[in-house]
Amino acid sequence: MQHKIKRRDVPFVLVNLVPGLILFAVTVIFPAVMALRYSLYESDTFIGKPKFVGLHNFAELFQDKHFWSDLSKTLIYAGGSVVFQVVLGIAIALLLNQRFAGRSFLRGATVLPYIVPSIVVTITWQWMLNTNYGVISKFLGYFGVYQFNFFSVDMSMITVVLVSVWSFTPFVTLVFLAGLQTVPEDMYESAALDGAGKWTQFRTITIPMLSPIIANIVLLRGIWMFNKFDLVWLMTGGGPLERTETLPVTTYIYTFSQYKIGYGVSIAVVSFLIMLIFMLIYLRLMNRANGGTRT
Amino acid sequence: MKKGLAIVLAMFLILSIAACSGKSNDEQSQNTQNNQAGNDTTPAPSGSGNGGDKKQVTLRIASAETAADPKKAMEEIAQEYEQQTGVKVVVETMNLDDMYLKVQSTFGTSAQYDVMFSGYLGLLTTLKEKGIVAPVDDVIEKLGGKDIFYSPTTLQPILDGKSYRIPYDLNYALGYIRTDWLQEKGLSMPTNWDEFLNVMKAFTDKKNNKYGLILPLKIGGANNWITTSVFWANDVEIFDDQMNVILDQGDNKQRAIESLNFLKELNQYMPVEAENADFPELLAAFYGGQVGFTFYSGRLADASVQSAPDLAGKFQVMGLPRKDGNGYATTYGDDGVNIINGPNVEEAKKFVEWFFKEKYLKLVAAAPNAFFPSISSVYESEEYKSLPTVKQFWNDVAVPQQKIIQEAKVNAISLAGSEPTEKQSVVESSFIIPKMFQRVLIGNEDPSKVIDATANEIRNMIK
Amino acid sequence: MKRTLTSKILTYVFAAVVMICSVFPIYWVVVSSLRGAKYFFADSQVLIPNHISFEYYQNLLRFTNYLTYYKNSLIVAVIATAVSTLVSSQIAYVTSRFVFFGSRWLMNVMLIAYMLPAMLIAIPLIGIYIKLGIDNTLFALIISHISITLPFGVWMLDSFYRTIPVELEESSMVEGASRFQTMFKVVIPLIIPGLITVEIFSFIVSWTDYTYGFMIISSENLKTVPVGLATIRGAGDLRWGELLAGASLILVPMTVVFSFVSKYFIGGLTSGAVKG
Repeated sequence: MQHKIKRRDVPFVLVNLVPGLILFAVTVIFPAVMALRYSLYESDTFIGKPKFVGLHNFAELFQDKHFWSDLSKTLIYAGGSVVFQVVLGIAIALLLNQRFAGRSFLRGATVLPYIVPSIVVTITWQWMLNTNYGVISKFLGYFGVYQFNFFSVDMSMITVVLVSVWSFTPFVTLVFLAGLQTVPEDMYESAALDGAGKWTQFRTITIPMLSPIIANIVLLRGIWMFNKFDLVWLMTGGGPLERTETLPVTTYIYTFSQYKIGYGVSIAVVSFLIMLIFMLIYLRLMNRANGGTRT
Repeated sequence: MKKGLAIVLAMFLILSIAACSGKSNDEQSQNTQNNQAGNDTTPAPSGSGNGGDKKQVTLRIASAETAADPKKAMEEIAQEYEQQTGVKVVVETMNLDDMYLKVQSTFGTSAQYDVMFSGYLGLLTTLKEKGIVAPVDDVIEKLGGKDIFYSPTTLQPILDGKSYRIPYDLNYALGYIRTDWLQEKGLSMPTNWDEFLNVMKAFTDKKNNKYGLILPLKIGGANNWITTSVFWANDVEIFDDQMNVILDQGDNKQRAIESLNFLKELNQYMPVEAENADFPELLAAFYGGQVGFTFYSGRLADASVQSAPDLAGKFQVMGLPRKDGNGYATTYGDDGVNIINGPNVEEAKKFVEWFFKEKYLKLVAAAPNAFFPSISSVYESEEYKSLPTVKQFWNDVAVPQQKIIQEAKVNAISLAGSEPTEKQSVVESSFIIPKMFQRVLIGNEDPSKVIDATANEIRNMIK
Repeated sequence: MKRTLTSKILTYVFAAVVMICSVFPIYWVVVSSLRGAKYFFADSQVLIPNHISFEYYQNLLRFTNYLTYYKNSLIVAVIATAVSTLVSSQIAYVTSRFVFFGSRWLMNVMLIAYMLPAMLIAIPLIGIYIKLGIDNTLFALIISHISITLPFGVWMLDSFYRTIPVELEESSMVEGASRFQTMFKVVIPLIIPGLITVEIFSFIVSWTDYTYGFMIISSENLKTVPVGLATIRGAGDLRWGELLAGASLILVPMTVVFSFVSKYFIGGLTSGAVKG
């Protein structure tokens, strides 16, 4: 139950709200506003005087065919990794929702990849996928596949997507697990009494019950993956042949390797605007689901 | 009440934003002034950001010597300097790729660096344009003048008649070839492209995971430095003397096409890892006996003592044969010291002078083949020759390396065209040449078209 | 529901696959790092090692300041976690209990903030730090991490607070306690699972961060573990063994610690929080 602030609550509200909001303003709002400013300037250093160029960076950006191809790569990366995360996440959540020996142990174990830092994820998988010394290459050898390059021009995107799936699925799994626990057991029981098989139960009960969460996850994780920088950058550096150059990587390259700061930031700004559209869709959906009021 | 709170909140947001922007603007103008006025008001740099005595001078060195032994040597040298003079010297080791950003972004702040020990940045011109690096001619004079250095190229780049860098080693891209493999196949050292291709073909035995060579094809510094040798081996020029792009002009274009086709043929004899290869992959492939040829600096020999002791005596250094057998070609590289403008320029110069006079050999000894001395008297000195790995690889590395320095056709992106300008820097930092290699080798695009497109892109970038 | 034998077997097979996929890479890194230079490449694909050597660990500790990296990572993660948990629990309490102009807008902004491209915030932040002269400090890194953890914390704790019946607080206040007393004595104890979840989450974000650390920190003695490890990787030498040793030194303690707190984390994420 929320209520309006009464006069005697004012000190309490201020004490709790003000320090945090200042921190928030300084660490998030202010940099975001600065980013907008940066995107209107041309500068190759963080010191010294930048040159005001208005919307020139954006005009150049929209004519840059690299931008459009990088945008499509980003969508492929984000879309691909989210689809796998959702499918695997549901499957593993269903598993973890069953009763079997060692379940709580497995629950803990499945979360492990999520807490591994991206640099360690990179080292781990580059080592396992190493063409000559990797354990997975050895495994492929049993199937007659030798000298397979997981980071070749055709494979690099797939590899990065799969490694991202390894790293980020646990979070999705936990969210679905939470969702599954809200599905009343008796719905399944009555369906079973009606003679519905496991698959039918899944289709008619589980999926509809989970669908709001699926929508949430697809949107939120999609945005999250769209913005993912460190894993992609560390795994491939955007290569080979720029095949894994997603927009955050491009932003980084322009800003810190070619020192076109204004142009780099304008890519980040455009990414944000694209994501904002999805974000607004999400908020819209959420508010509708809550009947316009949060409970 | 609701309205009142909203106003308070809004005020806070606006005030905090205004406060921050006001502060940073002041700082900004102050910094700009500092830079123009020679930084006389900048507080004394403190190494770890934990304050420090303002009177006490602390020199901050940005060092790209990331390998274990050189890093340790640098830290010890810093300690000895402090013991002798009371001036604290802090060595910050960082990767070369990050150095420009770090040096540039800290410039003029309390965390700025005073000295750089770095690999060939190719961005020195840009640093100079921004007033970040200080001329070092006076230090060179105190060390004995320009004649102490091995070759005239070592003082590149001289900008506006001044030197901004004192090289402490020469890193020409050295080709390492497995002499035991040559013997086994009954082949001699290749002297032209046809022979070279033949050798690479003979080395290749894909079933047993043996390949002719590995070149770094990943976009990055290794590619810029090493793989461009195929251009120099066929006299390809990117710029003419007036810094016009001539990559796609006349005969030069023909030669560039030949170089790319040569690279394409070589690619058949490279393992799949070449596509993503950077420096570590070259070492892995050569040490692991997977390839019979690669390029590297002298570090390959130094580190082989630890990582691949069995290789000793089984390899030799050479350049890349030129197309028609008219000698060899290689890409220039060096490591050098730069002094960064700021309140400590004079102290930094004293340190650098002391370093070259007293401690140079100590650093060189940490990786004697990698740190091929830029000072000729050091190269000829007994102390240098008697360093263990120099002695061990004298005939296989040091002697051929000296020959390459003297005789080979030497070029580099950073040396292309006339005197160094920001234009070469742009070509280097945009990695456009590595991208060109990838388009031809991995993307299978037509060399002629790729050359045209690349030349136009370079023209656009340097406009 | 009766379960057939086949479905039982399938469950266990699937569980085994999930288990292997989650844990084997971690095992593999640790095992590889223990082979020592002599067997590193020769035995690189042997599943269970015959020889164990701490050579690479010795190298790593001798040639890098790995323990300093560790200390820095812990300082940053602990402070960022403490601050963002405290502050977000305060904000979230207000937003969950009061309606005021912009309160709903505030929550949306928090969510959008959590979803901002890291680069959008990071690049200006670095510019600001440089101008303030606080780049290359742990303080700057802590602030940056808070920019990620604070919005998430508010968002998450808001839903936790909403699961607590207001009646509890009202009765406490009827008995004469002030709002502050009520918050600390009645409400906070009830949302401890939520606080723990936010703490663990914040800690993970800060502990695993590479992007900000890499951009902000240049001093060797201020590097965090991910940044230090990336430096070793980018150094151009062949150091697989040391890299894997460094990775293991992150993975092993993390796994041990997480095994104690995982049930709170999982419990926290799977309770009311994510439904909000």
